[in-house]
Amino acid sequence: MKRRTLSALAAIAAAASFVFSGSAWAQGKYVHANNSGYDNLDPHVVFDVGRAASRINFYDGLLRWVDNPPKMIPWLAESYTASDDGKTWTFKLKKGVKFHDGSEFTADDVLYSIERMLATKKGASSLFLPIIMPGSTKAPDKYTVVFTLKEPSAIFLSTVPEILIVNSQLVKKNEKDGDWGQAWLAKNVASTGSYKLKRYDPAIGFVGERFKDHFAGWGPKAFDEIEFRTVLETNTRVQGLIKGDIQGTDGYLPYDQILRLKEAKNVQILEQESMRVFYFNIHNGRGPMSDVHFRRALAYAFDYDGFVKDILKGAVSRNAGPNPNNLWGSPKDLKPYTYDLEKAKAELALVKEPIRPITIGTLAGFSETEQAATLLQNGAKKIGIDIKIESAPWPVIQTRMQDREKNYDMVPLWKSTYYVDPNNWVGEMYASRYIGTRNTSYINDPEMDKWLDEALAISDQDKRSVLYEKAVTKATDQAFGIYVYNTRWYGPYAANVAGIRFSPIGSGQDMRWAYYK
Amino acid sequence: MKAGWRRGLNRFASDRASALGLALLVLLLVAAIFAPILAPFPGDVADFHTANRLRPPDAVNWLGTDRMGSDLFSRILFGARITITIAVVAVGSAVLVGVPIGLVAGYYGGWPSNLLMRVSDIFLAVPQIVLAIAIAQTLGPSIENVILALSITYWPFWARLVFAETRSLKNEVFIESAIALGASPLRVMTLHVLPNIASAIIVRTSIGMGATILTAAALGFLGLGAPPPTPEWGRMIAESREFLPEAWWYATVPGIAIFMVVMGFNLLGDGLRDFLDPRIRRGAGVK
Repeated sequence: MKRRTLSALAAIAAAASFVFSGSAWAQGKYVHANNSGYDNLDPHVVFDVGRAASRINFYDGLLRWVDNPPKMIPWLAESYTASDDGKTWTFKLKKGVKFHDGSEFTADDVLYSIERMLATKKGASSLFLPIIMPGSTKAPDKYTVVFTLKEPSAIFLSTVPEILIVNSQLVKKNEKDGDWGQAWLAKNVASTGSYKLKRYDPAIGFVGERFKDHFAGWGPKAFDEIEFRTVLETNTRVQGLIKGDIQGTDGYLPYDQILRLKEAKNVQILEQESMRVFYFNIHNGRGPMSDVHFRRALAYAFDYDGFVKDILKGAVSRNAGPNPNNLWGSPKDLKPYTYDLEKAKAELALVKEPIRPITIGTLAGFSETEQAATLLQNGAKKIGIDIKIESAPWPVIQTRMQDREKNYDMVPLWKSTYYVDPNNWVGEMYASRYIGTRNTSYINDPEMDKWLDEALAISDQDKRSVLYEKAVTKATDQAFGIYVYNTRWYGPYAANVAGIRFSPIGSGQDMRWAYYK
Repeated sequence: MKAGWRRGLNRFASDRASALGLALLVLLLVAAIFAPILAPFPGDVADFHTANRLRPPDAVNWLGTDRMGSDLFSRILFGARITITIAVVAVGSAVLVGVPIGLVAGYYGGWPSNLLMRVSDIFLAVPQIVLAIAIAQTLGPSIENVILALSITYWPFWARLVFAETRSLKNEVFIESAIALGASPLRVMTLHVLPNIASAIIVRTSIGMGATILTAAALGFLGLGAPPPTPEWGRMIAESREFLPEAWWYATVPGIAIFMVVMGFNLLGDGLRDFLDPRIRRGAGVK
C-alpha cells in the first residue's frame, strides 16, 4: 500500500515537473518545430530554406538580409566598394569581432571560408564557382578582403550574405585528410554567430545558447536558448503550437492548418508578401520528359484551379512562370497553362519518345507536395500517363535531385528566395552553369544560357529585365517545369512571441531579434 | 462422425460471436467482389473533385469525402479488395512455407529440425512489425512488397505451431502403427499427421488473417504500403490525421473498417476452434 502511494506521488511529481519545466523555460527559451531534419550543420553544405535555421542562427556573413522587402545590412563587413568594371569588390571588415572560442575574426577567416566553399563545391558554392577562381581572393591587410571576379556579375553583391564565415584556426585543427573539416563541421559550430551550439543530434535537432559577446549586441529580452526540433508530423507541430509546447513552426503549413491555427487563442499567424514559387521540377534530361509535347501535356493535365482555389482556399496566387509575379523580369502578359485535357491529349499525340510510367518524389512532412502530386497523377491518368508517387525526407530528395541518374522524373517543391533577383529563379533553374547544383531540371539550352549569362554580366536593370522576360517566356512556353503559384508567407508563432523579423531569405527563422512580450 | 460435424455446425451457428464474425467477413467479401456495383462513385478511387473536399457524411457522400474530395464510402469498398488480397496472399504463402517446414522438422527431428527451428526462432525473436517495416522499407513502398514482407515475417508462426503438434502426434500409437505397416514418411505426414493438426492450422490462419490486416494497415499508415491514390485503409488513416479533429469522419471510417474486419477474423477463429476441436467433438459424440 505504502509503496503504491509512493509511486503515485512520484508519478504526480514527475508530471508536475514536466508541466512546470515547460513554463519555467518559457522566459528565455524558444522552441521551434521544423519539418526537415537538421542532418548537417556545415554552413557550406546546407543551403535551403527548410534547414536555414542552423546557418542563420549559428553563422554570420559579411552582409545580412533582414526585413521584407528584403534589405541587406552590413554585418561582419563595415563597408564595401566596387570597381567601375564591376569585377573587383573590396570589403572592409569590422574590428574586434570575437569567435565563440574568443579568438579574433580577421580577413584570413573570410579567405578560408570562400576557398573552402570553392573547394568543397557544395551548398551555396554554386553561386560563386562560375565567377570566383580559387586563390583569387586576397587580403591586403587584416581587415580588408578583395574579391576579384572572372566576369562582372549583377548578382554578386546580393549573394555575399551566403558566404558564411567559419573560424579558420579552429576548423583547420579539425581537418582530416584534407577534407576542409567537413566531417567535423557537420556536427560542430565554429563561428562568430548569434548562438553557440549547445546540443546537436541529427535525428532530433539542435539547441543553441546565446553568444553574449556577439559583436552586434543584443536586445534586452533576447532568447537565451533556442531549440530547433525536427517534427515531421504536421499535426504534431500544429498541436504542439496550440498546446504551447513549441513557440514557432515552419511557414510551409497547408492552408487548412493555418485556418485552424487562426482559431487558436495562444497562436498568432504573421502574414507577409513573399516570393516562393511552387512548381513541379521536371527532369528534362531524360525521356519522355525531354520531349516538349510530353511536358506540355503534363502542364495541361494539372488542375490549377482545384489546387489553388479549393485545396489552398485561394490563399496563394496563380503564378504562370518560374519567376514570382511580384518581381521584375517576368512578362506581364505571360499566359498561364490551364487544366485542359483536350489540349493535353493533343500534345501527347505529338510525343515521339516512348511513353513510360513516371515517378514523382514528394517531400515527407510537406503534405501539400503529396496533394499536388496526386492531383497531377489524376489528370495524367485521364490522358493515359501513369504516375507513381514516392515520398522521402527533403535532404534525401535534394541529394537525389542533384544526381542526374538518381533524380526523380518530377518533384513538386518551392523555389524560395535566397537573394532578390530573377537569377534566383529562372537563372538557377535553367542556366547550364548551375546543372547538378541549383539546376535540377538538367536543362542545357544554348539560347537560355545566352540570355541568362548576359543578364548576369550587365547591371542595367531595364536591359536585364528584357533578357529575363525572354527566358521566362521560353521556360513557360516549353514547360520546362509546371508552375503553379506564388505564395504568401504565413508564419505560425506563439502569441507572446514578438520581434520576428521576417525576410523572404531565411523565412523568419533569424531568432536574434525575437523575444517574449 | 457425421453427427459430430452437424452438432459442431449447430454449435457454431448458435454461437452468436462466431456467427457475427462470419457475417462481418461475408460483408467484407461482398464489398470486395461487388465494389464496382455497390460504390456510389466507383471513379473516386482515383478521381478527385477538389471543390467537394472534406465534406461530412450526408445524403450524397454517405461517409463523407477525403482531402481530395473523393467519396470515402466508395474508397472503403475498393479498399476491401486490397485488404483481402494482402491478407489472403500473405497468410497463404506463410502457410505454404511454414506448414511443410514445421511438418518435416517435427517429423524427422535431429539437426535439420534444430536448424529449421532455430531459424524460425530468429524471426520470432524480432517483433513481426519491426521486421516487416525493415523489409518493406528496403524493398520500397508497394503492395507487393508489403505482402512479401508480411509473408517473410509470418511463416515461423505456422512452422512453430505445426512443429509442436507434429512432435506430440509422432508418438501416438496410430502413427507408430502406420510406420510399422511400412507407410512412407510422405504418406504418414500428409495422410495421418496433417489431417489431425488441420484444425489448429485453420484456427491459427483465421486469427492470423486479422493480425496480418492490422500489420498491413500499420505499414500503409507509415507510408510503406501502396502509393497514393490507392484506397488502402491504413494509408487513408495516415492521410486523414492532419485534418483531425475537424474532419472526424475521415479517420474514423477506415478505422472502423479495419476494426470490423480484424474482429471478424478473430471471432471466426474462436468459433472455428470450438467447432473443430476434436476433443469437444468426440465428447459430444459419446454423449
